[in-house]
Amino acid sequence: MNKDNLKALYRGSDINEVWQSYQNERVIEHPKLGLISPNEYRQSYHGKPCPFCGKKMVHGKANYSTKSRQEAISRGYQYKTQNGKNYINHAGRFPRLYFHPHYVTLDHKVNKARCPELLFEVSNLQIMCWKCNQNKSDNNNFEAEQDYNFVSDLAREALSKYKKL
Amino acid sequence: MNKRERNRLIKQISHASGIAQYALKQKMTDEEVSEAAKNLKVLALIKSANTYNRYCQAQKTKEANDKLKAFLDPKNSEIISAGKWLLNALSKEGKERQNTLLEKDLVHKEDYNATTSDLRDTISTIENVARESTQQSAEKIRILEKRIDTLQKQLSSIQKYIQNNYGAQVWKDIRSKFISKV
Repeated sequence: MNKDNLKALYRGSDINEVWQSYQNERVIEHPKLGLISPNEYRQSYHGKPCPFCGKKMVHGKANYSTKSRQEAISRGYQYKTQNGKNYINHAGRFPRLYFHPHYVTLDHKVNKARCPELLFEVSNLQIMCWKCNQNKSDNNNFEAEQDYNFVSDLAREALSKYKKL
Repeated sequence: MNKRERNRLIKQISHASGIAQYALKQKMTDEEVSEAAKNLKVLALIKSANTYNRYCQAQKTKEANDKLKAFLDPKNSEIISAGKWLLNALSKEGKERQNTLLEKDLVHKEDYNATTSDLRDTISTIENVARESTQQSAEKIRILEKRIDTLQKQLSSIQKYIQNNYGAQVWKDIRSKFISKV
């Protein structure tokens, strides 16, 4: 793959097509895992905690997805989004597949639609569960906001602990 | 006066006055014993007053002894009870220990409040700086995203225009010369 060509991708549909077509190609140069494909990258995080919510992540369509919405609900795949709506992670149309809320996903720190040249750059990739990815959406300030929430929680905890006598 | 006579007279004086014989023997000369023995009726007049006087003195002595006993009793010792209270307070932990010590003003409340106040100010400042920094980065990102989106749309339109009017090869040349290598 000529990575220089990625720079001249302007349409979201083109960028997505390239991303999808390389899911099983070894195009990511990982410092520890070596040259791996996006799917292998995801697979290597099966059973590990999500770095954002700490929940155990899963991988494997056969075991952690279903075509039936009812089955997905009965398996507990449905969860509430930040604005309180019921949601089930899903992909595809015919058939639509419903996924486990903490299914492993590979996220682009700077979203791929705006910086396609970083599509397969390991420094721009991060593993997170689908639910956190859904929560992140295309927010390029997500990590900073997560860090702020962490600092804010620490501050609240400290202020409640060290009250005046 | 012989000894026997002296003892006999002292016995009479003691009986009449109510004063113990040992005291009379100790303090009176033979002349005084002889003189007092002649006035036994007079001595008998003060016997009841003398007995009452000794009774009162005994009561006062008893009272003083009781006070002394109470003073020496460990149960009533303020130092011991303060020590017991302190040991009890120190055997507690955390907030309960602090509150117990606070009841007797045994915590440096002002020092603690001053330190806590400084600490709280610092924590609040750090949180405010973090919030402002996050908001600023969000705003910068929003501006840059908007600019990227505009440029992307422009370039996409230019690409389409060149491909349609000058052919795909021309676009490929432009891409390799001006875009891919940058």
